[in-house]
Amino acid sequence: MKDRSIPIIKLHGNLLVSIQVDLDDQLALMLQDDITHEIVKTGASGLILDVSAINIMDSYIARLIDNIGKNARIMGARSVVVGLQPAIAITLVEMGMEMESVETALNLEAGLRLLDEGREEEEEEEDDIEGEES
Amino acid sequence: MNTDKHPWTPSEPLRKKLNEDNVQTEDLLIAVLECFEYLLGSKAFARPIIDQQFRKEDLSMQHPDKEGLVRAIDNLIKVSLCFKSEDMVRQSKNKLLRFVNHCKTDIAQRTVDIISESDIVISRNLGLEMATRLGFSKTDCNKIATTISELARNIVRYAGSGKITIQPLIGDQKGIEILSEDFGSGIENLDEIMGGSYQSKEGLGMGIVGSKRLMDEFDIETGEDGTRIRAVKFLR
Amino acid sequence: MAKKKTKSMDDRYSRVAEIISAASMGDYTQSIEITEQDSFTELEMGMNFMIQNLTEERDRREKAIHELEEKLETIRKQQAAISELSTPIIQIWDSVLTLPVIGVVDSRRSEEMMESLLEEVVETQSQCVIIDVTGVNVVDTKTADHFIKMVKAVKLLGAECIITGISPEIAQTLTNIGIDLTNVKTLRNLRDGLKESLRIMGLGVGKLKTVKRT
Repeated sequence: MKDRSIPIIKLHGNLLVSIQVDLDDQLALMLQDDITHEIVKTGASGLILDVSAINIMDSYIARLIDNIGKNARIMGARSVVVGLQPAIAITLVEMGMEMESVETALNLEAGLRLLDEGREEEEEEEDDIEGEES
Repeated sequence: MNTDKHPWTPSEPLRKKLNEDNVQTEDLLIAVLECFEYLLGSKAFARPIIDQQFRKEDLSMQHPDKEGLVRAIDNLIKVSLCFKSEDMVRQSKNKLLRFVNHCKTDIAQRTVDIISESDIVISRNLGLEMATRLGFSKTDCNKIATTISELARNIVRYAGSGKITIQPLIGDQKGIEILSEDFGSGIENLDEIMGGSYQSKEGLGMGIVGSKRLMDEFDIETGEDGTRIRAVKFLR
Repeated sequence: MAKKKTKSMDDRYSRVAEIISAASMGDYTQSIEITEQDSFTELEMGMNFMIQNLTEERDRREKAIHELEEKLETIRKQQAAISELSTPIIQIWDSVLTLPVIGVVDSRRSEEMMESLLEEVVETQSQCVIIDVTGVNVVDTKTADHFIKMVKAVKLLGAECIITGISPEIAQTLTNIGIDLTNVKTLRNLRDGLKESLRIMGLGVGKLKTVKRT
């Protein structure tokens, strides 16, 4: 069993990653790899990134998180960042740093709800399309 | 020769030492002595008074303490006002305080050598701690710590090694100063980056432009032999 | 009986100089030991009396300063209260916060506002924030900038942000100074803002089947 430094938890069709340690290049790459593999393995369509333990986020980390979101999107999964600290939100906005490939939610529940709502909409769309086809 | 009309200026040999970036504590103490000997009129009269103040604040070469020094200066200013005009005393005091702010040998100021990624975390946490102690708001503390993180990261990625100095600013405008120094090969498109025309949101550019937005003052000197960045945030 | 040591004139002059020097530094604890009785003694006694008076004067002054400091502290607290009153963060519904902004918004105030607002959002886990600017009369580039940053930061936390109460004049000013509000939800007033917030949360307002009147 591969020894991961950042655990990935499965949660009804979603993956939950809680970032508790400082990310460096090596860890970040490992994390991206692990997430990609898990998405394939579990077929997860949602990824929740819990950043409540991060108290300082510079542009590098923000970009790492955005890249994780980009990768997940390529694999067909939506990413939601939860637990962003207020001071960090202000700093990111002031810096002009945008994380475009991830959505945000206030907490885990809200994040899961966001992902579930998205899934419902998708299913409705698919139903509509199938309805048209038949 | 200083006449009674002019504020104090340091003597020739002292002036050179005080104009350096890193003023030594000994030179600073000598500057204080010179300044008040001038303001109080005579060495014989001034010396015991200055000695007493230094003793009171426990100031010596072995115990440099900027806050204590500023208190001593404040008291000596009060006495000086009995002998010289307010204008002259004030101008002399401002000159002295400017040198005090340039003195890096201070217990409160800290320097972190930046060599590896873990030093980024060390320096920014140190900045966070110092900013909090200085009384900055949570938001400002975060901005300061993030700036340190950006500058330290740039050192690690592009220069290989360098150092970050975090210095509290005392005197009339209180705040914090972050100094980033490295001996890398310099930032190439500095003008483009600062002007905002640098396209890539990656790496060097973003860190510098972002940090500039977070701080109140931001100066960069860069060349073939290295880069020096000074960022300041004032306490509101 | 031991005789008190006789002091030379030099010693006595030095002692007086010492006392003066100490007093100028705020050290009033020294006094002159009177050992002789001559014309100089008057000066020595005078010095001692003077130091004593200075001590009393200093004590009086310190008391006055202390009282002044207390008054200043009260004023500061009142100012903070006024500041809070003028920009309270009100929870007008479960998960809906309102920030009615009144008057002039300077850099410092807007930063404080942003910090309080965002912390409140996280604290109450509110999903919607309505920033009502009906009470804002003057808008320049900086002010508009602050509000846009506030909206972006709220959204970054994962909450919705709506701005209400932009008057036609302000709307015009904003367009003229080139502020782009296309990414910002704006509604006419607080009422519309609340309605929209409820809608976002999947709630609506409907009539109760029966209303019991007492």
